[in-house]
Amino acid sequence: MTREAAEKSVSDGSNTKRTAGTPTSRPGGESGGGTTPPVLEAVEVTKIYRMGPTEIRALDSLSLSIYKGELLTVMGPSGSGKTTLLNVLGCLDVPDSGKVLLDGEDVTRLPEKARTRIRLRKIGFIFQQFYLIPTLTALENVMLPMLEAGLSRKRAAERGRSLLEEVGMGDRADHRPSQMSGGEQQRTAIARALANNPEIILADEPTGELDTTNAGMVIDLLRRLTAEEGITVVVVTHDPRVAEKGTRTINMVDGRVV
Amino acid sequence: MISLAFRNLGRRKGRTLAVLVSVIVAGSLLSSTIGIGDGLVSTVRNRVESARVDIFITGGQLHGITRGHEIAGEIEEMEGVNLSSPMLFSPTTIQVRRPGEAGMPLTPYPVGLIPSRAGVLLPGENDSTTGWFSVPDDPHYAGGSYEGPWTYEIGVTEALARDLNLSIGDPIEVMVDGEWRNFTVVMTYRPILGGQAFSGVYLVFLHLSELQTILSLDVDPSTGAPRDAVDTISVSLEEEYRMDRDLYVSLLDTIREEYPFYDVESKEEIVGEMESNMAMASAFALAVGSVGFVIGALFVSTAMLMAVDERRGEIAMMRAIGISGKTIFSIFFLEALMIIMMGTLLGFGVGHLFYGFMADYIMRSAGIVITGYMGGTGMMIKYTAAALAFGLLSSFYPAAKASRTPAAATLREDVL
Repeated sequence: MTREAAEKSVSDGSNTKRTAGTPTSRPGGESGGGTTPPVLEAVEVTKIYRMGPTEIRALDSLSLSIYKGELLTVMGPSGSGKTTLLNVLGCLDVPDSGKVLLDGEDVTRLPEKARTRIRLRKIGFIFQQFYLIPTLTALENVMLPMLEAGLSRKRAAERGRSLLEEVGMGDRADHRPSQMSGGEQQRTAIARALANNPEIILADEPTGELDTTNAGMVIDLLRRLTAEEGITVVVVTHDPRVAEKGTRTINMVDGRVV
Repeated sequence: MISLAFRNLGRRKGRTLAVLVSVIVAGSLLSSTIGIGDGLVSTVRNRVESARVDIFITGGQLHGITRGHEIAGEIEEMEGVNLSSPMLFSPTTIQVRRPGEAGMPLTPYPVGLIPSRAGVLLPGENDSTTGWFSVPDDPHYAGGSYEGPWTYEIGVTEALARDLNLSIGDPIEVMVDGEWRNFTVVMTYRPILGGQAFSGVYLVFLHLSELQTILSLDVDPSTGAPRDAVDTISVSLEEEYRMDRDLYVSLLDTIREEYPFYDVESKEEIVGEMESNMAMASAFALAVGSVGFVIGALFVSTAMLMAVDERRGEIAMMRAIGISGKTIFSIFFLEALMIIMMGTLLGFGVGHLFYGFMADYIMRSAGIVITGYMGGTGMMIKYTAAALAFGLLSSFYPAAKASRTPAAATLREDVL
């Protein structure tokens, strides 16, 4: 994509089909039936990790449909396959069998380069440990995916500042991660996840390292994104207080949705 | 990306500094050895080229040319030849002392020459000699009879003059046939190799036939016929023959045909051989300097591999948010390359200081003056090529490893 095209795409959201407003999801609808197709769908997905002779079935024929504007929370005990599910849905990992459909397209068979492009343009990731680059300021961290997508430095900086304002970090744009609290770092990470106007945000324990106040702020921010901007958010969490903020919650045990 | 790579260098300041210092040391070692190597090659080549010898004839063994005076005369008669100078170099020393002085005499290596012709052999004669022989010819030879008068003239190297406290015009005794004979110092000479390392190596210069008699190389003892042994005959050509390649080659061929038992070489061949030998010496110096650079490059590689391991989580995050493997490769590659480039630049500066010290040491120990080769085009090309080669080699593997970091597995490990 050319720089001009990238700039247009990021600024007007033309790489997505989202419309702000009410989620088009059907709580509990895992088969994806109905008139609105799911934005993201896992079909009979199995993922097995092999450690020597031992096989761990992290995902076991799991099927799941996620609809536009949903805030889906995923709960379950450690080792139940939550993070693996997130990685498979986010094109970071490929399942051993089954399909993952993003906007109806099977992404599991795409080459790594194409999946990287999808992650860059359609998916935003948020991690428990924030993973901001310590040598960059908040603004520069947010600009990183935009520059990779081909935006000019100037446009990336403008949009970066606007995103930081949106997450309440406007006055901290020039601070480095070491000068920010955990909550501020996570809000910066959310701004980074929003950088290329993604359809979907996948958050792995985004409040895991935050105190109650900051955790509340972060989850409210994610809710606002779904409600106001129509972004689909999937949050993996252990925290029932976070889970209850979702529009739908699923529970996982042994790689299956129960 | 460049800014990110540069800032990443500041993450582990101590380690970056240590690696940088290792590259600086390596770079200075490499640049100074290249500079000294190239300087030596150029200095020696210039000396050879400045000598006005166009054709060089040797006998293939010690004192291998007989009838030296005669052959030199024959060659000098050839069209296009300006001068033909026979010379004798002895690997055995003779004894000299200040007149009447008891104690151990000094033992210089003698060189026999015909003064009117030997100028062709003494490069930069005006710079390296003070005074000259007053008798230009070689009267003792006397048409091969060796019964002509002795001139008793002698030239000495500056080191010998200094150690015997001699000046031009002073008498000096030389052992001839078991008895001391009085000679007169007429010339002092500063050889190409001098300085402290060669301060105990003395040379003296005598009329050719007088030295032949001293060394019993004048007549054949069994037949009494003239032997007239010399080691080399140096031929200087007239300008026309020197400049015209066809004339030059034709004369060279004529001499080869006339004297098939001797080795006849052109100046070009001599310089070529010398350059080939010097190129080997230069390559050796480059190899020695490169060892330091390889170690420096390994330092960089190791430090970068450590950085890749430490930043696995961060790399996985970057892969997760869609940063391509190519971008990650470029960031780490640039980091390593920056250290190498900064180190080599600073190393060049430090190397310049080393070069100064080494050139000064070589001048004092060996008397060879090396100037102006640090920063020469050839030297810069070699240095930059070596720096780039090692920079690329040391940067490539860590960068490739970073770009291949498996994102999902690494993030899972980090969570666990």
